[in-house]
Amino acid sequence: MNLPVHFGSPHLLLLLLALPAVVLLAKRSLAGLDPIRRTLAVALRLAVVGCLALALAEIEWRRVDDRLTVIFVVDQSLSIPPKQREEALRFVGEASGHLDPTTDEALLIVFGKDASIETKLVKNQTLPTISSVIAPEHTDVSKALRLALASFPQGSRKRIVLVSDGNETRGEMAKEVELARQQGVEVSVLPVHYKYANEALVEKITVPPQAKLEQPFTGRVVIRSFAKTDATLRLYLDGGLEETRAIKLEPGLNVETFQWSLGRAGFFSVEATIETPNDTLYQNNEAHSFVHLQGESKVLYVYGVEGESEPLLEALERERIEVEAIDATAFPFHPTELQSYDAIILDDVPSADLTKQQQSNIEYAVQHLGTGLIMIGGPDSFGAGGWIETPVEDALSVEMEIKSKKIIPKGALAMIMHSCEFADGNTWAVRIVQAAIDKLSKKDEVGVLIYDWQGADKWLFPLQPATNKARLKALCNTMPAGDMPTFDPTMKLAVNGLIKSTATVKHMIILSDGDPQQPSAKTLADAVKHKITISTIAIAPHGGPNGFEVNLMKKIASKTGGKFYLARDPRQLPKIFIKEAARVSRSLILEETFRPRLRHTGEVLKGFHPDDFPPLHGYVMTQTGPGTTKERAQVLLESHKGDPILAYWRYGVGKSIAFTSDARGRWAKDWLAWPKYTNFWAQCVRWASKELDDSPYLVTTSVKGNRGKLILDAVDEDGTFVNHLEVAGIARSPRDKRTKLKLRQTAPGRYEADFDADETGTYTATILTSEPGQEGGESFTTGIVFPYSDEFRRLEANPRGLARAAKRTNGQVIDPTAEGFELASLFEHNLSAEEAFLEGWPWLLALAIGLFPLDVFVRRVMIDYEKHWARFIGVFARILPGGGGPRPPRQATGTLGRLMERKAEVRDERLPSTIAAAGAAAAKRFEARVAADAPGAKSGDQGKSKGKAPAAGAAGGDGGPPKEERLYTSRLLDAKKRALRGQRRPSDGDEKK
Amino acid sequence: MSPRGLSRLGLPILALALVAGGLGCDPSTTADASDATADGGAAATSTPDAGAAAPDEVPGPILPERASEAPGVAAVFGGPGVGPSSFSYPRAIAFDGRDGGFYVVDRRAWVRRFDAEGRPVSQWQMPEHENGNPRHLKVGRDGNLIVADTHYYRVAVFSPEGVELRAFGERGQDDGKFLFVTGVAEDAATGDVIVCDYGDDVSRVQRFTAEGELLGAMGGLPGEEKGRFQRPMAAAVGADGRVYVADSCNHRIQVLDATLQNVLAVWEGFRYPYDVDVAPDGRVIVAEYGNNRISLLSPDGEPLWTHGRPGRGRDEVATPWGAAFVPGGDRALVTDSGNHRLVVLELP
Repeated sequence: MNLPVHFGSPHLLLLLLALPAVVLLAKRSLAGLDPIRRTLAVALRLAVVGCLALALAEIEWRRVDDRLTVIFVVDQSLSIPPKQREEALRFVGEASGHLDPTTDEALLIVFGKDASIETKLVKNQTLPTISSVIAPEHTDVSKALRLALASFPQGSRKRIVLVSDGNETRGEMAKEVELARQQGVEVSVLPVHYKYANEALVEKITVPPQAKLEQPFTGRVVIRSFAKTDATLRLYLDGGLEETRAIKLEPGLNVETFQWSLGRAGFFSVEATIETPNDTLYQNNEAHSFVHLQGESKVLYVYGVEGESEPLLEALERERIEVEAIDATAFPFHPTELQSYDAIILDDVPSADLTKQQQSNIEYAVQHLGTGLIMIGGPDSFGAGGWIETPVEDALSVEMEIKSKKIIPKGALAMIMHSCEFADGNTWAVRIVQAAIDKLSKKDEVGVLIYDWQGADKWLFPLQPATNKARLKALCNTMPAGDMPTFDPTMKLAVNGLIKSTATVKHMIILSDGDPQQPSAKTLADAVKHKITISTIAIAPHGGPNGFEVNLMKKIASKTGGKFYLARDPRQLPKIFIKEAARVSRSLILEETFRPRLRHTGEVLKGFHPDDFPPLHGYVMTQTGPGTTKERAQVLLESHKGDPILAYWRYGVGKSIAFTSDARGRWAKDWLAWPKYTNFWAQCVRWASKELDDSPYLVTTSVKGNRGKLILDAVDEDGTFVNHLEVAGIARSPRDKRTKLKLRQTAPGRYEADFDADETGTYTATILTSEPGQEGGESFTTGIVFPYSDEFRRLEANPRGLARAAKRTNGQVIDPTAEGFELASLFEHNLSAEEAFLEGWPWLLALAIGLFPLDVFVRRVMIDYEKHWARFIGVFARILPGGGGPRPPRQATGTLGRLMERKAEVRDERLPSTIAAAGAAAAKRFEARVAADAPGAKSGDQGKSKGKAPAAGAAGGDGGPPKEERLYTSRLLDAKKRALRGQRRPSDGDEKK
Repeated sequence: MSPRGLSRLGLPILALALVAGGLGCDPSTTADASDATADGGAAATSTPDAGAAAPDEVPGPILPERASEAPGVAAVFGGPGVGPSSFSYPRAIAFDGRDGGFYVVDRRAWVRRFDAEGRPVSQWQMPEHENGNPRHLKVGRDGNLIVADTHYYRVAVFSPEGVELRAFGERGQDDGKFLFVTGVAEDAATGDVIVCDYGDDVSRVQRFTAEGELLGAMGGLPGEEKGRFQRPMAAAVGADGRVYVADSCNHRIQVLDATLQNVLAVWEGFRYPYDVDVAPDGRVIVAEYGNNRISLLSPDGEPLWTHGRPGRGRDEVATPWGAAFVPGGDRALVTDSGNHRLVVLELP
């Protein structure tokens, strides 16, 4: 049957049989109501019951939709050549010409790795290009089909037209096809065919994973070419071009070999790229691999002061430790360059000489690559060298700031800023003062002086401890830029402030262009007398480097023992200021003669005895011990004051040693002649150096799509599995993006971790194993190669998968060139229609719920329907021509007046019993909204009288009082009387209605 | 929220938003091309490039007709910028006694000439100004400009059109040479030139013939005593040949005799006086860079009247570098440097 209405549970329609019963019941229970009301109430009840019955019977309206929705799912991934991609869009455009807007809907979905709805198609749509972003380096057909299935509207017939080469690199199409079949969606396919004529691609590059230093190894590059062509092959080592070759390619596979021998140890990525004149896809022109070279131990030695390193270098040479000595400017910038060194020695190098990135690389090398770090003291080392709060401090075994002493050494720094005349002068001033404040320790005092244009030479903020650096830096933001007329007032203020300070080191920095009037001789003399050093920095002096302003500023510096700087460019200023601020931390240097005390020998000082050590003449104060971050560090040698002289610890994979005195003539002159000097340093360096990895553990890697996996098999020499290790590491992408790894144990001795890689190339992974509670462990470095997407590798269409999809869903395999193919067939309504049902129960239920209170209302609430109806009619009667006169209003007053009269009458009647009166009063309460103008209403006996009052009389002759009116209330009154009297007989005039 | 409630709330908010937007987008709000930092003076942080050649518009006169007798600001002219009516930190000002016209030099080393009513007439740029710009200038009795070419350690004389006629001086600490030349003045009677300079261990006043022959000097090493100076910034010659020197970092004016041998008077009570000028009747006007005000003194150095306080308003000044009497002596023109404008003062 094709009825428009359908019942889910037709048996419940039997509930409709209850309707007559409702009527019958109503007859009894509603007897008291007047006819109109009763009818209404019954009708409402019938309606409510009817609605409920139908709702329960699950009434449904059936809709048959003749709509058709066609979704074109078009592959725009890069495996398809551009021409074919455009043709696919053109095809869709042509097909849209057969769209019938009244019954059809069409969508275009494009996909690559992602799928996106490009547009809703209109008739004769043109599609020059797509605007969706779909990551075309991959093909994920299943995602696109999933999106299409979700995009169909309810109730229409559904067809998908899939245009693709079938080369999926992600996901599985078959699952979605099955879903489509279940949902009655027809999937027709249009396979895209193409042929790459001139493509060349690098299949892979292989090199041995391990090689020996200085020994040649062979690598092979496999290239596939579709045509005979010339090509250029380039080979890269760690990003640098090593070799370029011109080669000739034949169709098919070509192999090129190369032999390299490398002089540096470490982990290197190797890359091969190919270039041909007519190449179509560039993404597949590169392949990556890596090689690990083991080498001899080599140490990188960085000296801060030229010419003073001979003693140490000679000593190490005697011990046959290979050392490369450089100054800070030659320090490598790239983290991988640090790999070739087993240890780094910083000998009296100030932190300002290395960039933050270089310092961070050192910390990384120690923590993750196992490189050793040794810092040797001097006037520019440790805290005095500004290494406070640097990454290198993190890796070292001592803290630079001293917190635990009773008399904490502190410095005081005053800065005079006259910087307004050069471009952005004020901004620079703020910035460099803030940078200097950062370099101070919290106990150091700092103050800034300026000339305020409103006429004052004054402190921006006076000399005070730098405990709240944030606050002081914020004050700098209010620095006014005034052109200072003379140096003297601010210098006097500064000198006086510094004289009053209890700091051990007092320093002043003046930044100016040299224009202001020079300070008085007395001011300078006072500075010298109180050992206040003044450094001056000339920025953009008018007279240039030879002007007398420069002379003036040089003189101030030299007279007081400070340094002069000529800054040609404001960008030099921050470094100068930081260096100068660090001078304040000279307070950390203690120059006294003492014999270092041996606390333990540990591993480093094996074979040394307490009396062995000659005196030292100075060191930089540092701190370790409980309460610091260096609690774990071991102090082997200490000064007469208990400060560390030699302290070491393990940091991540690596080890670091801090030697706070120096290794040359200044503080260690007695050591240079010491016979054990060589042994001492050799042992330190050897201990700190990276350990060779000859571990029996095995690390393997695997790659699936863009997910890399690391597997560690921890089996020790006896063949037993090593369990419960803590294994953690870092994976570094070719562009130096780092991902933390934690390997979890998945089987006896086996630990695994995955990570996502979104770059192509060689990723480096270093992992460190450790046993819980123990220090140190094994470290491993390996590479993981993520090649280019398969999208660029297969380069041929895969129509079989598509054909299968079509077959499963009764779709067609479209061949636009075939005879008899009609484009209009795509829009044919030959699919089985889907039935849609609109459920009726929510509406019916709502209706029932709405009607029910209405029913109650009708029964309970007294409204004089007749009167209202009459009035309503009356309104129209007035409006309509020839209508009746405005009778009702007059009647109203008249009636109301009569009513009041009647009321008075009744009262005067002196009812015999108070009960009657009470009853009257009670009845009055029920006198709800009686419209005074309805013809029947004026029967003033709205129940309060005994009902026997001559209603007719009171009515005043407008027809007899309608019986219905007085019925209810009078009955109520009677009933009350009865109840009170205890009588059972009905009172007079009581009519059962 | 009911729809009615929403609209009740929404309308006032919408109204507020419109009002706020209207207020905020006021384009004429404080056109402070000069820096917006708390200070009022110094740095225009960008280096404005050389402006146009001759002015193509002729703005109205700066010096209005005498409107009232009350002392105070008669007119304010200019503002930051590079156009003909704008200044970029104007410093020096000098009047041409013959026709009442005047010259203003600003920090871009432009010398601008105005007529007696204050209309711009012409302008030219110092030939060499890479190292810096001239801090002071005066109009000689022959109408030529005597310029203190500060950062080139010399005194140069230019025609009103900017043609360099002659120059003298070279860098040096000895007398007869100069370090930073900061002030010049001409003795109209003799044509001699008074030059102030300061620098490394030098703060002095020297007297030369018009051709540059040294006649006398006072000062040398900087000091606070009478007869010594600390950064003399300007000089002026009175009708009787007396030389008034703005001894800025000693916060005083020193009055010397014509031969520069004796100190006749020392007037204190200033704060970084950067310019000084003498009227025909002997009254003296001083521009105080540090106090941000202009002081008028009697011929004996008694303070008669002051004007200005730090700020940008009409009655305020910001780091004024120059002040000069308008010929006649009843008005003065002040370079309100930090506000990049000129202020015309009606004197009591």
